Amino acid sequence: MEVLLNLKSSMIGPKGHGLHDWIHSSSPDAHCSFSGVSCDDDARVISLNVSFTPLFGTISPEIGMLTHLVNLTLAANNFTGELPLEMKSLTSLKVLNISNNGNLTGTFPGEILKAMVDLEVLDTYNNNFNGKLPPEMSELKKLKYLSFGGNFFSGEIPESYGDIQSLEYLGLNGAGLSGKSPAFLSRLKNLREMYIGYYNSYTGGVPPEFGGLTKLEILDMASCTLTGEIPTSLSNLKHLHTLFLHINNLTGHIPPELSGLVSLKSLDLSINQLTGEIPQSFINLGNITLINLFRNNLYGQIPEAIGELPKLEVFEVWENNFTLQLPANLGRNGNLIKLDVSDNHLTGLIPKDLCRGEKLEMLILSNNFFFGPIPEELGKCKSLTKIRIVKNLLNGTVPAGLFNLPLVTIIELTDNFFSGELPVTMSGDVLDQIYLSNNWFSGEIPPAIGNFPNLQTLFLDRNRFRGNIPREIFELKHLSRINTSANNITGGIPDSISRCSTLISVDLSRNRINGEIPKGINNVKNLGTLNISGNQLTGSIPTGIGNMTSLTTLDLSFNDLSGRVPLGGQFLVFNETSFAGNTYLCLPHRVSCPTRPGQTSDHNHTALFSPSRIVITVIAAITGLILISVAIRQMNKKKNQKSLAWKLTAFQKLDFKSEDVLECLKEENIIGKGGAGIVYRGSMPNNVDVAIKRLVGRGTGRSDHGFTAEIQTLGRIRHRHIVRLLGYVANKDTNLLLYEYMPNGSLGELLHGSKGGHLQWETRHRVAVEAAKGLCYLHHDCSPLILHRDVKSNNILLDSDFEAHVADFGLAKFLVDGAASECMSSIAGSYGYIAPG
Amino acid sequence: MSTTLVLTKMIYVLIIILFLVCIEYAYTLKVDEKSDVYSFGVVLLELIAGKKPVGEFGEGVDIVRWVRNTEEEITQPSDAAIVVAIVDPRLTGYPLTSVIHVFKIAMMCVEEEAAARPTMREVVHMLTNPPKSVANLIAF
Repeated sequence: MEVLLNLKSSMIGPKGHGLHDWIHSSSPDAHCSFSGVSCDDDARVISLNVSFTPLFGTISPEIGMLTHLVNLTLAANNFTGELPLEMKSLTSLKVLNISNNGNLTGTFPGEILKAMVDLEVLDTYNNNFNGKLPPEMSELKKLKYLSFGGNFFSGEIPESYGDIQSLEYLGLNGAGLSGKSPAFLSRLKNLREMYIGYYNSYTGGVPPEFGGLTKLEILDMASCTLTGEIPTSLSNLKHLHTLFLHINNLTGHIPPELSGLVSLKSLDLSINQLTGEIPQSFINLGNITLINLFRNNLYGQIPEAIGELPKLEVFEVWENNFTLQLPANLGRNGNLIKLDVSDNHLTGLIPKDLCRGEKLEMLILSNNFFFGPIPEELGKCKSLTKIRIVKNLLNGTVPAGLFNLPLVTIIELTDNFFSGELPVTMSGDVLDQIYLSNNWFSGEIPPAIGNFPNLQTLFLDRNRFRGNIPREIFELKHLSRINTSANNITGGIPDSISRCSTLISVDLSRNRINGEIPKGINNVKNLGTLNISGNQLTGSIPTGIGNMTSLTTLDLSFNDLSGRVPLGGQFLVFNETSFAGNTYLCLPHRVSCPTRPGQTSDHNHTALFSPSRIVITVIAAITGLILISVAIRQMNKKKNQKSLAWKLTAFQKLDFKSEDVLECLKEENIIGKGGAGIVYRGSMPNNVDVAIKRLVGRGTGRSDHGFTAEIQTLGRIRHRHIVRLLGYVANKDTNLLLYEYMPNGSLGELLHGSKGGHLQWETRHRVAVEAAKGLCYLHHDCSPLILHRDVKSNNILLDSDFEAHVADFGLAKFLVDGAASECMSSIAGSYGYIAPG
Repeated sequence: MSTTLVLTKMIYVLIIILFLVCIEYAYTLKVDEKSDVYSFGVVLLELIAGKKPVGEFGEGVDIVRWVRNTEEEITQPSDAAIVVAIVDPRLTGYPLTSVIHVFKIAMMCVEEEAAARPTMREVVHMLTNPPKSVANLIAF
């Protein structure tokens, strides 16, 4: 009892959870009723099974006192630390299972095994053990199950492992092992399952000697750098049902002799360098259910024999060079579930029996030369979940049933020659992506698209759709991307778009859409791209677009818009090409504006007009105008005097003046644009470069008080891994922040650019540490604490030595006494980086 | 007539201001330093996978969701298996232990529950104290 209670306190760890019924009691055998404990007749503990609890402590040395233990199962907990050597006194053990603890560490103490002569099961899968594999195994004459997989061992598999004659299961998968391909394991004549691949790396190939392991049922040597050819001797393994050799560097042909594997159910040879054809002899693999051969250099016709295999469920052969047609009888066995033959050179018709058994879930035929229509039968295939038939030569109408399948999540028919109209009735609760781009579809876009409650992506571009965009589309609760460009769509943009808050990208360009841009468009907060160019839209540009801080791409060009392009806010991000080709649109900074002939005002109130009213209105308007213009002139006089005066505030000694900074605000100096402002590179007279950030949307009045205070605090921050704010230049209207210049740009640009590959792990790790230190300083060493509020790879900048510096406090805000203070900004982070909840 | 127009516009502006204030308030309530930690976790995943946080995984799937999906698809999940499945293929050789270590930290940072995320101080401590382990196990 005492032993168990002590064990409990170390096993549950300092946080103290779990094993609640392990409590002190005076009864001598109370401990036998603890959960997970069982005793023999003398109340001695013989079995301790605490799995999936989870416990966060360590395994204490006192475990060694339970000398009668037969079964010790401590699986799927969160134990840490090393195994105690005292476990060597557990000489009665038959089962030792410490798998899936994740954090058990240190070398595995082989000496504890020496006296466990009765041990039958040793399972250490998925822990943190390291060092060499323990060689002390050959004494375990009864061992049947051995797993050291999922650990961080190194070195070779000890030759002595070939002597554990009783062994039936050997799991050394994902254990970090190396050395020569372990041919000596062929001495384990009783072996039924062998897993020795996954992140082990051997020299040499599949040992031909393995052909002698006649009881073998599973051979898994995937992903362990095997070379050479597949030995024909494997065909002797009459009980083998699983052969996994994928992700290696195997070469040569697939041996026709493999058809001798009469029990084979699963064959995976994908991601190798195999060449030649699929052997005709495979027709003898009467039990096979899975054939995966993708990413090899196989060629020729896929044998008709594949279609004959009675139990075939999965056939994935993408990225090979197969030619000619698919076996016409494929799927006729009624068992096919997954078919992926994309990226080959296949042609002919799509076989019509693929879904004969109503089990087909995945149909992927992309990037081939299939022609003809999609067989009507597939429109009734209720089991389908994915349909991807991109880039083929298919034509005809798409079976209406395809858009009414209950389980389908994606329909991708891009780049074919499909024609005809979409069905009027459509439904599907889980469909989230529809791609029909670049076909010959015609007719109206059916309002029934609104019946897909989970639709997120709708691509209908480059077809011949006409009529309106149904308002139902924008009533979809999850729609995030829509593209209907290059069709013949007419009518207006439905007002419902203003309430479709999930939208990220909208492209309605190159149609004949008319009417005005919905005024409520600015309610779509996350919209990043809005392209409605090449239409016949009229009216003025809604000023609300200036508040759409996520909007980085806006194209309103080649419409019939009029009025002035609004100033300020997000409009600073767009250049003139966004508005080109609108004859009556007046760009900012343009002195004279074109006016529409025969029209004096945007609003017509003719119905209200009577002669007397006109006179009164005109007089009132003229008086009003005179008064207003006088007032504006007066105000401007004052304002100009003030606003002309730029003031430089420096947080350290600066050898330049505000004039030097202002000179750099030219188009050609722009190095970045974002929601928070435009960034210019400025070369100062003393050969020092600075980055100048021009803040967006800070008008007069509101900005000053809080802004100055915030900026003063930021200017005081001095840390090696934070971009230094050197000072700022401001007048009444504009604020320019001056930062040290980082010549190597942002981590985001570098990592996601073409040179991202040069950024090797050591640099990435260092950048991570440095950025973390910068943020840590803001959170824990500043008073009051500073939140960044827009941490992202584009805000981690790299200096000339690639040292990382956290940047962009345009959004930072202070927390006073743990509560939110007066807010400066309405933006809180970038899409993809925002914490849930 | 012009007075009614001015009045209408004033009311309109007032409504917009109220609306903006509401939005701001909604945002400020949510944001604390654990939000920064979450974002930093996303940056760590970006460094491991070499992928942008959104846009490469299909609709509605960001990098965090993608990693979790990948995790679910692996038949025998272990930390090593997941890391190898998501790691940036442009990395020519990398110490698997170190990547796994950073991966584990990243996943702590992007916990759904803000309280379950570590502080930045803890993150720095973990990043700079890798587990004592094998002399760099190099994958591939």
